[in-house]
Amino acid sequence: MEVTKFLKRVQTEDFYAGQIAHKHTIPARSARFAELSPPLPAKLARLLKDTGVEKLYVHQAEAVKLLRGGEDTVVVTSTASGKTLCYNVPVLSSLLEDPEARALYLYPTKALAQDQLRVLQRYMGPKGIEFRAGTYDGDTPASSRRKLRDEARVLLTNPDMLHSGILPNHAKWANFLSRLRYVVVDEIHSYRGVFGSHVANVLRRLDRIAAHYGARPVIAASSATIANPGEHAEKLLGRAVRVVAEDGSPRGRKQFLFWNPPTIDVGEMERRSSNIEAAELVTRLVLDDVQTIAFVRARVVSEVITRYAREMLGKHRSSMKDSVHPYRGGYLPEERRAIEKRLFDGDLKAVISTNALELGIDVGALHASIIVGYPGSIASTWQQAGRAGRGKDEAITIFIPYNTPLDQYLASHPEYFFGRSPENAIIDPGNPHILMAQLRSAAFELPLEAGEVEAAGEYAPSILELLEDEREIAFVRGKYYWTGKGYPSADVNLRNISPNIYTIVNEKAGNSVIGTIDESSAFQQVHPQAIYLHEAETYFVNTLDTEKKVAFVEPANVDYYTQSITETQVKVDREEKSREWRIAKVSFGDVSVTSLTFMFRKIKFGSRDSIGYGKCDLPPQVLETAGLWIVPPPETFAEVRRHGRTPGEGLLGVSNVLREVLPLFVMCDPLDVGTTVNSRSTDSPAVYVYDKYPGGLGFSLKAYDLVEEIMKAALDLISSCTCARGCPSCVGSPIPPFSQLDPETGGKGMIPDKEAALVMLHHLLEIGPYTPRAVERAPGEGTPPERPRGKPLPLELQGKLRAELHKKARAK
Amino acid sequence: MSERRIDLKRELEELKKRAEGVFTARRSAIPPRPRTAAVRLADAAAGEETAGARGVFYRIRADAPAIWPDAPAFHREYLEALAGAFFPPAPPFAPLRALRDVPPERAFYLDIETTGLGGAAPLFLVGLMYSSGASLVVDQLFARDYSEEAAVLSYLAGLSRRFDALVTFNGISFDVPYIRDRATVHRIAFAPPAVHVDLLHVARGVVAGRTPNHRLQTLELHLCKRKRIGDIPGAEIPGAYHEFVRTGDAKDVANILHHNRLDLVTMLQLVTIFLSSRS
Repeated sequence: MEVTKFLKRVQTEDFYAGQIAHKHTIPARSARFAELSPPLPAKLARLLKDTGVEKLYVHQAEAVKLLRGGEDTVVVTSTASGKTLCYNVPVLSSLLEDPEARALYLYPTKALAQDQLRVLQRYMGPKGIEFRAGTYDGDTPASSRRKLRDEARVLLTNPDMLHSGILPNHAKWANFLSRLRYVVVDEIHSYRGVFGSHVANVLRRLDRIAAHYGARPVIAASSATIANPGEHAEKLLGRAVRVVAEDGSPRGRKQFLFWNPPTIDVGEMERRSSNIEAAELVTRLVLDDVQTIAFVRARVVSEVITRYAREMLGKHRSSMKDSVHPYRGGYLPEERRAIEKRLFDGDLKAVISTNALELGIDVGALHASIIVGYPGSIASTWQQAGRAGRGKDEAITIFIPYNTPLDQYLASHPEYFFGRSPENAIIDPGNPHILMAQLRSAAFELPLEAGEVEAAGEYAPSILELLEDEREIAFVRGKYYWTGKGYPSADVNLRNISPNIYTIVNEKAGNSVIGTIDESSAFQQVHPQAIYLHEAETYFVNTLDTEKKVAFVEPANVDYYTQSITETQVKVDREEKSREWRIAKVSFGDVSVTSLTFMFRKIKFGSRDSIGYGKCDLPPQVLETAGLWIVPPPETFAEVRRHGRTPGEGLLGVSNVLREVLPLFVMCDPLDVGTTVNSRSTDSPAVYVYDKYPGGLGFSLKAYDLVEEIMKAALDLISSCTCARGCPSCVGSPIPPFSQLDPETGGKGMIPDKEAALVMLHHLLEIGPYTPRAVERAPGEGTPPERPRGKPLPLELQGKLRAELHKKARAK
Repeated sequence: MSERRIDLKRELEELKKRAEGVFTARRSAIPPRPRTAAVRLADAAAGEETAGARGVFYRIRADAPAIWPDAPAFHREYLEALAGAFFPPAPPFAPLRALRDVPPERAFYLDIETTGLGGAAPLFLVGLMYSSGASLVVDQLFARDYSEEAAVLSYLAGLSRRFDALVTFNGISFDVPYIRDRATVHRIAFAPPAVHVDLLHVARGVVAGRTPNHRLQTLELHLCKRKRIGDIPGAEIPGAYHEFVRTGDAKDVANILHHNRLDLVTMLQLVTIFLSSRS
């Protein structure tokens, strides 16, 4: 596309009011090719030529060479750099060279596996290579499963299916597994935290079962850009790997714009709607015939923006209305396939998508990507940006921040974004909780030998002893045998998602299913009287049947949508242990995190005005888990206050920082733990850290022993942050609390006061004294009156008063 | 470590509870058994350690009268029915015709006992029964622990080659695929005889609707007019076997072997009854 021309024109339009806050140019890069040695089988070389591949880029050539030479390899290059070819070429060549060879492809999602099957099909058939390939997942009909087992030479599946469907039934797969030459593990950056730790174990299980049948497949992995691709791959795959990171693909020049909606009030606090700005840009790009993808954080936003864009397009050219479409989870698979196809064929000009399209589904060459709201990580942002631009064409990425402190921070500090390296992917396959679940499955599949157990992690022998005590394992003649009941794999869900999926049916169309939604989202989005948006159309929710797990809706032509309000509370159920940590008290025990969706607001399309409220009568959703809580003494609060700062903000800042630093100490993903501030169960406000898994997975337990180290790291992180008043990488949390909501309609959240957190941490760690910087006032803020100062309350009295307050709160 | 252990225990309970949820329907509560002195295997079942290509296992081989006084009579009736001129004309009986085409000593009855319902759970007992001249032989191949499964399977593979026909109850969907899978795991070539008569399939056609269901013990009650007393319920067998492996106490092994023999004899008797059906 002609980006410069487009930008010039946009700036002359009526709606332009200086939105371009920053322009960053990523220069073009020309392709670098390399010769393959040894050359490919002639047939494959011809086939590649027929599909438009004349030469291989350097990274492709290197990966192909390594993989064909039997080296486990991870390819870490940019989006659309031709990573798929890196593994498809060696696999196809093995299929040609060895009529018995088999390959297993693992993808994090079903949709991706199906998409990649279509890529493989280009090489299949009478003109290409004769072989069978198929996807094997929960949707595969029983009648096809056997055929796939017996005939497929390339099987595309996901880790969940490998875990619960293939490995426990390995005898039926013996033929396939014994001939396994390659295992492809695509998008390994998505295997992080608990999910990644499970997958690492599943891959080790695959390794031992394949070895049992005499196979030692070569692993081909690929990853989007993360800070530690090699380390992550080795931990995940359990093997030493070669890293191929020299990207030889060409890239047209790319403009990366920060597009900040203009302020609309005198105080410059309110800004024009980011969703509407996004729709405006989509509309202009579509009218210019530029294929565009917009990424949004919440499902509802993909619908709302589509609606706006269709309306705007309709005014210009009504025939274009249908060329914009939402794309998100919860759509029926065939609906998603249809959208992907229309996008690929060029019939669809713009898609407004959640991160469902962030992974590498091939939708062809898009020229513009719009990122509406910070996706929560640098790595994700680059992934989304990378969706625009393929080959040498010029491309554009536009980041539109919301009017929230975090997004606005990024808008005013572009150097922060461009200077920062993407996040680490962290996994801990030896986490005792995960390991126990996985050892049960492994022993069921094949008795564990002593040597294997030693290699499985330091806790493995003790875990097996425990399982022996519980009569699930018997140690007989040097091997551990499964003697428990049932299928242990069925007890474990690799992902932290509720297995309860609700269906959404249209009562006015014979109860036909229009979509699906997971349980916790169902409560927030399809409660009775909610407006459910589907393909940008409004549906009224008549009933939500929590027994049958069905939401009954009917089309309703209304000019508003709804946003529910959910309150989350954490409370202590049982204190298991506690200790004095310096001047504070740290406790660990059972906590429950209760989310209650209690009301909803009606939001008018366009103006974003609240036009009404309603009550929700839904049961609370309770997560019973393990957590730790730190209760600072009253002196710490007094110290913060002495500096004219608010202790509550300090605590909130500490809680946000904990989520940043804790994962490194307890080996999890930031999304695996929750942190919050609450005073319901303690005498004064406490910082909570809890595992986001029922029963807990040991993160907060481990953190309990490491409080000193973790708090020191928190202090280091804030102290060494160069920001002035707090930013997303220190006291501001990049993870929005209610990711399902339209960021324009909810509370804005805040970046808490950095200095308050610093005072608090210095005091708690008994380092000090710390003198905070003077309170800075933003221009135009004026000087508010000083807080009146009186006689400080004696500490005991403070405690008593607080206790009284809490007693009242609890009685309510 | 101790705290972590407790924590894991709690989690294990959770996992177990979930597993129970799936399987309670198939499991009845196991009543506590009185503690008695440990029973040695040799006392529970007179057999001998037998060696095959894949190691040793325990083989209990006996003429039928030694295990059940009525068995010779059942066997005589069975041989008569096979040799008789009459064959029930209704289509559901047709599969049985194959049994008349092979000499009685070239057909064997088979029933296995396993530690699970499929997947990767080992089997530990292969019960076989066949005619040997005028006598009926019960031949049970027993793995004294999980490591002897390969020996049992390899021996079975050799034995099965000497027969022309196989009779099972639900063997088409359970016993034979189970054996095949377990043999695959141990890389043992197992080929059942070409003729396989699955009595469950015959029974479905024959008794259609006249018994509450088509389970072997239901047919035993309604067709053979026998009721088992003191038999170990099938669902308890895996647990009882694990207990034997763990403790070496063979108190339940005799029960399991007996249960297996009863199944075999009932299958034989069902064939007799089917072949003599006049309606």
